[in-house]
Amino acid sequence: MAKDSGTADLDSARRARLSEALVKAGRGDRNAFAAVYAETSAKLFGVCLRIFPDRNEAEDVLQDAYLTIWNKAASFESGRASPISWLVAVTRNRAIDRLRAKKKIGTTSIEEAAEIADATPLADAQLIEEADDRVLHDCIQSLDTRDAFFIRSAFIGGSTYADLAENEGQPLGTVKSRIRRALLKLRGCMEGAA
Amino acid sequence: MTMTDEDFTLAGEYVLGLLDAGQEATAVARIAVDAQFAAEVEAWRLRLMPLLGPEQSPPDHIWSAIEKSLPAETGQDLGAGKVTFWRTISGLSMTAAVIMGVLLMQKPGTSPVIPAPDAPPMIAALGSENGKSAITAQYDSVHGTMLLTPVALDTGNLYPELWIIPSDGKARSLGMIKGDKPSEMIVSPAMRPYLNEGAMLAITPEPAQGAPGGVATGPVLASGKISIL
Repeated sequence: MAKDSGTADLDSARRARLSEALVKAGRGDRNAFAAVYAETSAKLFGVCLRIFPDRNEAEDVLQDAYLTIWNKAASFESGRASPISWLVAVTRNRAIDRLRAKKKIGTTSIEEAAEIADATPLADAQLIEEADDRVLHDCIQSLDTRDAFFIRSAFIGGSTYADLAENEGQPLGTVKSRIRRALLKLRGCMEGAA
Repeated sequence: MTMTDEDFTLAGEYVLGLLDAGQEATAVARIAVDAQFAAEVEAWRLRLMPLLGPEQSPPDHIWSAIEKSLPAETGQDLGAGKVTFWRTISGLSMTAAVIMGVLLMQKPGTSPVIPAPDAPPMIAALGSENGKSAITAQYDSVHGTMLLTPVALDTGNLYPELWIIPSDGKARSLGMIKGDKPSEMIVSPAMRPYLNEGAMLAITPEPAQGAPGGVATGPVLASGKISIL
């Protein structure tokens, strides 16, 4: 598997400790939960800021994410997932839920709407620049630019297949098969480089 | 089952949040029973994680705000309690109980990718006592279609037949399914009223043309109750 900087900097002892703290938090141990926070808040705040560049909003999402983590910690299975990928997934999903709810009720400000609308080529450049993993960076760069944008737009922007098809003016089936092909290509590239 | 390109893609689509609510529920159930699929989901999370960086320390007041929002000291064992409840009370297999636990806990957090359909999807995770068989079922009551995803199912020389067992305890055939790959069936209109929350789905091995006279002949390989998501 590809080496990942998100976990590589957590050595195995730290990871085991975090895993244990998360399991304890799932049983209602507040001290353990505080330890989880101390260990992961910078990582998870980074996730929130990536999805909500506005700091105030990102702070709200971060709080919300940790409350979700507290409530769902009992469902964390240490044998199945690394604690950090589980925590990042919970945080990313909370943030995306909020982003989608916001888009749906149309409270997006004009500036934000404009930002989303032309987030395309600029965001791709930014994405590649900021991706802190060399393998992912290179492999994303090897994809078609639009495909790379689709992947980013789904993962960070919460776009659904329907959103992407509509924005592209392409049939849903076309967009789906494009993204699926791109995912296989990305996977092959990252596994090959590992 | 060996992982196919479709499985790899499905895991990626799940992590990217591209699946619709029903597909997502099926993926969640599959993660609970299929270690290979779970590992691929984990791999995708790790592959894509750098897109969600870089790290940034949050201001100090965040932690105190979180601490204040936590509920009172007691009664926080609900999550684990739920799983235990399913394991002990329901008499389901361990695997199926875990899936049910996961599904129950997912309920409040799940977010439909597509606008909510007219009726919430019904799902069931079918498992066996020995943990050797596992299938997920997802029923769309609006269209009367059921998607079945076998994770592990061995019917030997026979073929899997799907049954619905409502509260009267009588098994009624829904038809033959595929044991080696996902399949979609149209549930006959006469059977649709039986597909409700709490009704049991079961699979038995039968001859290719189905159990003679509509009465199951084989042992139950996997079973599970329907839940509304």
